[in-house]
Order: sequence, then C-alpha cells, then structure tokens
Amino acid sequence: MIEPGITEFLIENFVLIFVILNMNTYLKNNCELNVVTLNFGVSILCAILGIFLEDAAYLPLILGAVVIEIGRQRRFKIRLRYVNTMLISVIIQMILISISAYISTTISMWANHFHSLKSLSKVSGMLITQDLVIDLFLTLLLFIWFYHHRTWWYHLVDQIEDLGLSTRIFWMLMMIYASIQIILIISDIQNIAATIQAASIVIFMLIILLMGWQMQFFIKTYATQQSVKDEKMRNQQLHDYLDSVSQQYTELRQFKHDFRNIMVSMSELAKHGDQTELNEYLYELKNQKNLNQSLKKASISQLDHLKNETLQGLIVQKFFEARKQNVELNIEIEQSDFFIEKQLVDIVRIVGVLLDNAIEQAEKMSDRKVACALIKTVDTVEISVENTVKLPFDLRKIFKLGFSSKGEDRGLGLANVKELVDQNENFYLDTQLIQRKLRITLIITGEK
Amino acid sequence: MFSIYLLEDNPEQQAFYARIIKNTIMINDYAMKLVCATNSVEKLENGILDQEQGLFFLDMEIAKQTDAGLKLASKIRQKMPFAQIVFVTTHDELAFLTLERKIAPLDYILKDQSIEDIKSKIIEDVNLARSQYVESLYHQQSLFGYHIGSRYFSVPMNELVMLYTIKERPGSVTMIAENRQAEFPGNLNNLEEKYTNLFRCDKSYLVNLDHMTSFNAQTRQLHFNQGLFCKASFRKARDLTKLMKNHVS
Repeated sequence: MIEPGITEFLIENFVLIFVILNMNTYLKNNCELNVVTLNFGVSILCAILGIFLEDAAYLPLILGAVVIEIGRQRRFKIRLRYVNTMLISVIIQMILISISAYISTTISMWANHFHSLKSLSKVSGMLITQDLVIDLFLTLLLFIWFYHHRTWWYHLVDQIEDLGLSTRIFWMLMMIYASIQIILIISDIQNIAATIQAASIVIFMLIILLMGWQMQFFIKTYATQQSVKDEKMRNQQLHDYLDSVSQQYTELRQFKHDFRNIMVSMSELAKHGDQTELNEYLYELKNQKNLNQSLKKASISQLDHLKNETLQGLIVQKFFEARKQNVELNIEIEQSDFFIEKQLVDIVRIVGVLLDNAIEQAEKMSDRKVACALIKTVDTVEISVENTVKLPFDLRKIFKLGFSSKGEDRGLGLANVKELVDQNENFYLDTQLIQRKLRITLIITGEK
Repeated sequence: MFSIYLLEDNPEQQAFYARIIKNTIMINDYAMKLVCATNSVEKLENGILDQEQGLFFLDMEIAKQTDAGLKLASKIRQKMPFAQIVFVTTHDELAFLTLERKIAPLDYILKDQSIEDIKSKIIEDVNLARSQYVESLYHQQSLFGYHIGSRYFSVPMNELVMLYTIKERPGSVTMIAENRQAEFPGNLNNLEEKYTNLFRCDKSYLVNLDHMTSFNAQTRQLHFNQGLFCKASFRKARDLTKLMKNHVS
C-alpha cells in the first residue's frame, strides 16, 4: 500500500470534503457565497479531524448533519431530507475517489512502465494530485449531469417527503454508507491494493445503481397506490356531497310544487276578492321554511378551478371534516385555473393547519362558518382563511408555542405555520382581526 | 365637502337610493354631497373628483356584465386609497373573502333584502363614512404602506405599533399594528428614512412612540399595549430620555 505523507493526506481530505459539502449545498439548492465560505471553513476543520479518523473521515459530516438538524428542529424528530442529501453526497464522493484512485494508478503504471504497485510509492505525491484531478473532473461531469436533471431531482425529493419515505431512504443510504466504509477499512487493514478495492467498489456501485433504479420504481408504485387510495376516499366524499345536493334539489322541487298550488288558490281568491283569506295565504307563504332558507350553503363547486391535486385533496378533506362538525367551510376560487408551481409541500402543510385551527374555532362560535379564499394576482398567490373569534382576542399570542384560543396545549399548529413561513423566504403571513373576524393570509411571491 | 357617488343601472332603484342618500344628508345637515348618480361605469369614472376621500355605492352588475362594479372598484381603490366602497348587489354567491382581500369594501348591500333593510343599510353606511371622515380630519391621517410583489398594502399610521426584523428571516420586516400583524420584504434603514415619525430604538426595532405606554430608563425597556416590549440600545435610550423630557416640558 502506498503511504502518502501527512500533508498530501490533509490536502486530499480537504478537497474531498469541500467537494462533498458543496455537492450537498447544490443538492439542497441554496448556493450562496456565504454558504460556500462556510463550507470552506468546515472542510479545513474536518480535514484535520480526518487525519485521526483515517478512512472514516466522512463520518463527522454525517453526524454533523444529524446534529444540525436536531438543533434546527429543537426536538428529536429531525427532517431526514437534509441528512439524506448529505449521505448521498458522501457516498457519491467515496465512490468517485475510489474510481479515480483506480484510474490514476492504472495511468501511472502504464505511463511509467511500472509492473508492481510498490514502485508507485516513489511517485505517491504526484499520484494523489492526479487522484484529485480525476476526481474533480468526474465530480464536474456529475454536476453537469445534475444541472440538466435538477427539476427531476427536486421533484423526487418532494415526492419522497410527501409520501413519508424519508426514513426508509435514510436507512437504506446509511446501509450503503456503512458497506462502503467497511470495504474501505477492511481493504486498508488487509493492505489490499487500490485495484482490488476499486473493483469491489465498482461492483458494489453497480448493485447500488440497480437498487436505486428499483427504488425509483418502488417510489412510483407507492405514489400511484397512495393516489388511488386518496382518489377513492375523495370519490366517496364527493358522492356524499352529491347526495346532499340532490336531496336539496328534491326539497326545492317539492317547494316549487307547493308554490304553484298556493298561486293557483291565491289567484282564485283574488278573483273573488276575498281579502282575509288572501292575507292568510300570503302569511303562510311568507313563513314557508324553504323560502327563507338561503340556497347558498357552503359549497365546493369552485374547487375544480384548483389544479393542484394535493391541495385540492386537502381542501376536500377539510370540507368534509368541517361538515361532520356541522361547520360550513366556504371555498372561494375566482380564477378558473388556479395552479401553484412551487413549494407545494410547505403550502399544503400551512393551509392544513390554518384550516384545522379555523374549523375547530368555528365549532365554538354561533355562526359556525369558515371561509377560505385562493387569490391569484399578477405575481402573488394569496391563501386566506377566515373565522369568527371570541373577543377580546390577542393577536400577538396565536403564533406562540403552546398557545391557542382553543385551550391549552393546542397552539402547536400555528407555531409550526410560523416556522414553515420563516423557512421559505418568499412566504409572508398577514394576520388581521377585523371586528370579530380573524383572517390569516399566506402570501406567496415569485409565482407566475 | 365629502363626495358620494352612485352607480346603478336600474333607473327606479337609482332614484330610490339617491333619495335616501340626499335625505340622510339633509336631515343630519352633513357637509356631504351626492355628486354623481349614473348608470354608466365610464361616467362615474370620469366624474370622480380629485379628492382624498369619497363614498361609493356601486352596483356589481352593470348591463349584464357581472363584474363591472368590481373592476371599477379596483380602479377607484388605486386612485383613492381612502375611498369607502359599498357594493349593492343581487348576486348572492359573492366571494366575500376574495372581495375583502382585493377591495376591502366598507359594506355590502344585498338587494334581495326588504326595502326597509336596504334603506337602513344605506343610511348606516352614509353615517359610518361620515364619522370616519370626521375622524380623519381631526387626526391628520397618514398611511404606512408596503409592497409584497406588486400588491400594495397600507395601515393607518396611528394604528402602527412597531416594525422589527428577526435574524431567522433576513430581508423581511415584521409589522405589528393594532389589529394586524404582517411580514413584508424590506429593511429598517429605508423605512426609518421614509417614515421619520418612527423611532429607531435598536438596530432591529423601529417603533411608533405614540403607542408606547412606558419607558424604563434603567432597564432601557420600552413597553407597549398587549404586553409588547422592546429594548433600546444604550445611545438610543439616552436620545429617548431627552426626547421625553422635551415633550413633557
């Protein structure tokens, strides 16, 4: 085995970790200068740590990602999404450096007409530089490939999170990482040459590719299965809704029938000029239940204007939940095709919490009404949720953790909304109290 | 003179509403005038006087066009941010919340109510518009305005309590007003320059001292209603103490 000097080792570690971190930032889609600078600093630190950890040099990165996520969420339920990207970056880099080491050894042996690996020790310094250059070249190729497929990637990540597969993916990636790490450590202990090591990693990589392909297939199937399930439930709910509408229609027809009869009798009475009986009839007509009842019951007829299926599904679901609690949820969508392109996962979460809160509050109020409007302007999307509240009402407290007008330990929802809004820099929250109405509006900029 | 405008394409109804409005003004001897009662959107638009305020009664549906009144309302709102708009409509499937967000009208009058109800609603709205107008005359009302994308929002300056930034959201300012809390893109330095009546007590706070209930010079804490408070920087605390002394004397 070639034993490089400590400086080379340091440089190698630094470059690789720096590449990993930047790949991670790139996958997370927040490339900014200060993030790259931060990466630079972290790389130096980790490179020094790496001297002691030798082959497990990347372990601090993964642990670091987990710890940062815990710190960010301030609880032990972490968003594995970001840890996963870190794991992917590390795995990719480990594979790439092994391949480059293999390629560079082959090139050196061929160029210098060496026949044994031992003779390579003479040029170990150069070899590492060569390794790195090849590695960087491969990384660059990967970046270019990724750049062309980035929409697919972001879509996939969102889908994984939507379907709640993050944990599974995390363990799968963890296994792959552990396996590669074991191959590296064992080959090091056993002094296995880079050639064999690379060969085993290449084989391993092929298996990973196969697995990834299978995984994608699995995600697709799972997504279809889920959407069929959702569809089924939505159909059931729509069916119930149609039932109630047709019942209303029957009542209306009944009323029309009655109305005709009354009209006929009244015109008869009018002919004979019977004033008292005519008045009686008029009185009866006035008090007809159906006449006074407003036809405008809460409706979701405008909901097919909404072209985002997940958001539509959520609103339909909340509509029926509200009905169950005898709360009218009114949906207003003026635009005939309302479509949100980006950040749908977070938007769906926020709207879900806002509607839940409003419905629960409305149960306690006499009007039992919640209104929800989706408004699109030139460059913003607004989602407004309104319900009546009991006065006095303290606007300041609703987003605080643990507070809710509904009672104790219920306020987590709106605090989460605040957190989600803070995480997306193009989300703005507007909360108004207008007389007795609490109106919370999420404004999203940057939508076309 | 406060101007009232009326848009209604049914001649009988137009005459009826106009009569109620005129009577209300006369009985109460208000300094108001019905300057325009018309059935055409163009006429009304051209008839708008160059004033800061006005009360508009708009029929939503003009000559079969169901959103004529609505479109006009957006234009009026742009021209005259303080305009009081009342929709008079038969349309019972109104998207109230959408309207509220887009136009923020003073009131709605539904035509399928009884004549008495409509009458009392109109009288009520005239009175309400008048009292808000008088209020604004006494307190020279100015607005605090901000943009989110191309959307413009405003809050009466006397309702604004404070503006602040948090480090989790750079480039975004949080506004706290009496009955409103909103976030918008911006930075405090620009706002401080634009609204000189506000006091920059700290690098991340810009406050409206009219809403301050107390100031503790020792702890350098400013207190506001509803338990709101913020800290003043050392230098600004001194300025504030000076300011308050001047104010008292």
